[in-house]
Amino acid sequence: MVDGKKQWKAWLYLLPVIILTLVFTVWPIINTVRIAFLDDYTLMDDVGGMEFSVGVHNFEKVVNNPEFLTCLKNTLLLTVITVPISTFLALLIAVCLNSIKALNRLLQTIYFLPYVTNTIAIGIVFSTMFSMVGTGFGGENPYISTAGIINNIIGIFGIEPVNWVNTGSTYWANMFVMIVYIVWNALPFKILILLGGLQSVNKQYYDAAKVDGTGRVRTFFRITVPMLSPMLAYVVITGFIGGFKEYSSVVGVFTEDMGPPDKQGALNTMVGFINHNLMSGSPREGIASAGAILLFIIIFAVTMLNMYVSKKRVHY
Amino acid sequence: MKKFIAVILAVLLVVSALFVFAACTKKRKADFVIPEGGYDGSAVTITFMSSMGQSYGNILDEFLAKFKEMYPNITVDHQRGGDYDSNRDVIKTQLGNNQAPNLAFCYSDHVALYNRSKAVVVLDSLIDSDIEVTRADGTTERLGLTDEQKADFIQTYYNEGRSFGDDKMYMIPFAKSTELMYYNKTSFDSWQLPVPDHWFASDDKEGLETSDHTSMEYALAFIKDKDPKSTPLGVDSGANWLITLFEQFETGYTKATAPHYLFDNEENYNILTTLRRWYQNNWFTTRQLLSGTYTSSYFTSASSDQGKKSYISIGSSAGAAKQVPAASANFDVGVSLIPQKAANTPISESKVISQGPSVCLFNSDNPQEVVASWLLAKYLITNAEFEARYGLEAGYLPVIQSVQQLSGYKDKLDTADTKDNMAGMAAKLCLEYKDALFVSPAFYGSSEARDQMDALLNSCVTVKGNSADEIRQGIIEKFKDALAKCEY
Amino acid sequence: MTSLLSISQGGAIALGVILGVVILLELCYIVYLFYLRATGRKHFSFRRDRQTQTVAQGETQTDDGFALTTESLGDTKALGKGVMKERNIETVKKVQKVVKIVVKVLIYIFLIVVAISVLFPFYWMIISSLKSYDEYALEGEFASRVTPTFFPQTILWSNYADAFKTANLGTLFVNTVFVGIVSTILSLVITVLAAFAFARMQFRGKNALFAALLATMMIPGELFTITNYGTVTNFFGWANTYTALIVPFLVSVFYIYLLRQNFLQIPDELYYAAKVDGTSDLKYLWKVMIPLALPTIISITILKMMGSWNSYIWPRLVANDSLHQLITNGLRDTDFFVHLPDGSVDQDKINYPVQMAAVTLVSIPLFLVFIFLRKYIMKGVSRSGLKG
Repeated sequence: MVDGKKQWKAWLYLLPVIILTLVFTVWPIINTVRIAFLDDYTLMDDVGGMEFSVGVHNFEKVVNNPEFLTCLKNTLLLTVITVPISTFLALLIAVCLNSIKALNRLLQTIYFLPYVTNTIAIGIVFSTMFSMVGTGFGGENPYISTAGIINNIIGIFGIEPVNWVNTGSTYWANMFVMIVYIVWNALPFKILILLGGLQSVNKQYYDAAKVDGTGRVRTFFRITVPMLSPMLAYVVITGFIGGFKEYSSVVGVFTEDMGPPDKQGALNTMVGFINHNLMSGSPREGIASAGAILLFIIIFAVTMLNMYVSKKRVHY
Repeated sequence: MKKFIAVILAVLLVVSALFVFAACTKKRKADFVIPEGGYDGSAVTITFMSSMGQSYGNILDEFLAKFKEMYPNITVDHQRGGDYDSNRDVIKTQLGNNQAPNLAFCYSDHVALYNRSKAVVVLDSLIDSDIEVTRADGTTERLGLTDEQKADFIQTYYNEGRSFGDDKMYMIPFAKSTELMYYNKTSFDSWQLPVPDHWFASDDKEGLETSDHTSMEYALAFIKDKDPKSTPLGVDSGANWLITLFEQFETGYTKATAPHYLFDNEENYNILTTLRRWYQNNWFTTRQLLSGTYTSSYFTSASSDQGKKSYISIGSSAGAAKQVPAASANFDVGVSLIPQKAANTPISESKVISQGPSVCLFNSDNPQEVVASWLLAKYLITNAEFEARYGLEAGYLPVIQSVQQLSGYKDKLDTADTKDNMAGMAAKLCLEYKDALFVSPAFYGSSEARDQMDALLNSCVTVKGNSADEIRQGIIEKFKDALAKCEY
Repeated sequence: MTSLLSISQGGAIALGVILGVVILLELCYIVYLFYLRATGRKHFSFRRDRQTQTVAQGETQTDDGFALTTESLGDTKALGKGVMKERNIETVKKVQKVVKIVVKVLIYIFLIVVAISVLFPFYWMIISSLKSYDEYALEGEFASRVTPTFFPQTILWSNYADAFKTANLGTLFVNTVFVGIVSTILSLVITVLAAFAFARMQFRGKNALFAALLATMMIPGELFTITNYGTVTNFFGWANTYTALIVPFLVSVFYIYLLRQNFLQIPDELYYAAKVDGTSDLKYLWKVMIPLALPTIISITILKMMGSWNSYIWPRLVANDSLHQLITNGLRDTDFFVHLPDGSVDQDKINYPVQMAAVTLVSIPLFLVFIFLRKYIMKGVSRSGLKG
């Protein structure tokens, strides 16, 4: 059934992909692994002719670094919180959108707009929306001259202004802003996929349910969710992968300090850790590589588990 | 299951490949030696990576054209890079692959990084060379610097190129700036408040109680008392402030040879404890604490009822023009040296930080390129006309003293005042204070230390605590954090 | 051995945290999927016990159980059935109608609130781009304001002219469009061929190769930069060429995956029929598969164009001369400084309104493309079905 000629042809079709992947993906991976196992490797020292011994020194430094643990904690928290929220919201919006006729196309277009924007640019917009203007933040008597647009809006409901992103803001206030931004950013893709899925569900199922007199909620859980489960699994898996690679959204809101001025690095993420070690004034490529490998292992494990679970649980 | 096996196999492949490639090292260019006869007139293209925006870049291009007339065979590819940090990252990546521009704008921190690759050309042999190089029009010039040219440099600037702990010259100054204190002269005069010339009260009393009326302590308390809604002092760079304080009080910041980090000590805890008290009283703010708002905008502001009003502003001499009050805020500005360790410190014992770009050369397989690059760097930096034009346009200070004799620049200095010609005022004062300048040591990790100074100031002044002891513990903790991040 | 030991000591917490959280995550996820899959049977069954079974309708009897709880969600049918016996049909119909309208209104309110919160940052971006610096930063004459202005007091269209002029946007647009088009075309050819091979052809190691390709999607791309820079400039000598901007990013596993899913849904019978007719593979691909998968191909095209519109670090490294500079680089390397009263520029004060104008200008082409081709993107994603 597998004849020789076909084999040869298949490989021919795949040739460009294989060559390009080998050169621009596989070779960098090999190089990264090599660097990670060279003790205290830095690129400049390498060029300068220094010899490095093979060992696990870089990994040791990474896991013993309190900063890395902060990054790990932030990344996990952001992922665990934003993926369910954005998936649920996207599902809700997609189902609602699918049930209406008027304004449907306009709303669809609006919801997808964040998809075509630059993460960092809009992050700056978010940060100005949340930030206060004044002096003495973090002191006993801060002087607020402008509470910022978001604080003005919540002020309408009688809520006291919150210090979201400025000096002296709390960790969870910062996290809240990040969660809002990441969910805002993640929604369009998820709505796109889920709405696409909803529209491809065979109408016959719904008609049958109608004839049977099945209620809407029941139809939703009995028909819609199982039919959507491949898309749900897909957005959850890609959401997790994206979540572990979170970086530019934090840069957009907090700049490369990765936190409010008095707590720099408080919201740093794993990719932020890698980037900082790669691109600072005294870069340590060995540590960055070790961090990247650890990150890959984590993403890989979570994705494998996700796939395993969805194989068991997802209805095809 | 097959997929799992495939992936595991792939990982194994990668790990085994590691040992194959572990052995391969990069080959390094031979150290630079001046070719006999210097520049031989051959055609070379050299790349110059600057950090100039459009308007200043055009001045440079103009002078590059003049250089081209002198040496028609040297083609300069002027690359306008981004900001200093992104240039550094680009050059680092290029060096990592044995490529680099021929010359580039740099800070000493950057050179400390590039130096690890041993690709930065040591300038001593070029500076001292007495080879005569022939120009297109038949005239000759000395390849090295003449004694007059050497003496023309402002010495602190010139010596910064040698501050890497091995007494070799790696970079040559291009344009510089320093910090100045701008104050609201109208208000100071009407309050008859003396301009502070040192930071802390000599009698250790707080606020208005102190009898040391020329201290910053007293001035801030006084202004806050007169205008309770103001933030008396605005500092544009927190890191510069701390580094300068540590230098003035000789309490230790960093040094070029290991162990590098000296700032974690009792005296510095004391300094930060005092600064914390000031901040908690709303006596000062910095740009970093304001998430990026320039404190000069508080200084020049007309309104005093929004907390956005300051009476003293410490900022760069390069930004003198932005300390000019808004049209609606009609007050006179005074400019002076930043406060020092003690009252009436003579200039020679005063300390103020110096900053700004220098130029370094990178080694190349073709030594002619290096010589040509040096000729270009020398042409620009020793060219008083260029230094004057660039200095006036960008607000930077020329690095050579002969610029002062140039008519255009001399006018600027002569008409210096604090309203219409603030840049001239700043330039004039900086020349007066040139013996007070210092530069912070440069080594692999010095830029991290600098970043940590900002973080340290911000986190220390916002430390919470119910008792003096608790606050001190909090501050010590922040110091340990900063140190750990530097040493890591 | 000492180094391994100290890993186990110092890293124990790290690994513990990782494993613990991952396991916790998985548990949550399993529970979540169980919940979805279990169709709410258990959830609703406990309610059913409390209610008297009035209608015996086989499986649908549970409807009574949650009819009341779901009133607001619009389960009008169930509601009707539950109360049918006590009220006349007219009233029921009225109630149904009212509930239906209420639900519709609620849905619209929800959707519009979401739409507003999605649009707000864009609104903010656009009004910011039209303000003067002082109005934006609440400085100068605006220093006494407590709230930022919701609409610019004087509309400064000149910000856009400034942005266009300062950043030399014209050249940048042309460069970006050129790189975008060439790389999209090449990338499509490669992607279509690979997706066809993965979807239709049989060869040894197919699944392993596909899995390996998918696995590369999980690697953080930042680390590729250094090595790839060396490959491109040293090995190939492509510094400052369009080639360096195009070639390294031609393969996208995600697009191959998307298109393969789409191809898989085209029935095998068509292929075998074509084989019997003696049609060659390529002809079949061109005549049958590509037209059928057109929406997906169009959405890939759009995504790819967007990618070249937004890329930053790589172009900055390999082609930063003025001839080849791309739009995001051009924008970030351009300093939109505030002009001071004396005519010089303030190097430290970034003119955010002009920067916002530039960002808006750059985003507009993307918005337009997106709005016009939205239909295709939707179709592309729904057709590919994403089933494995």
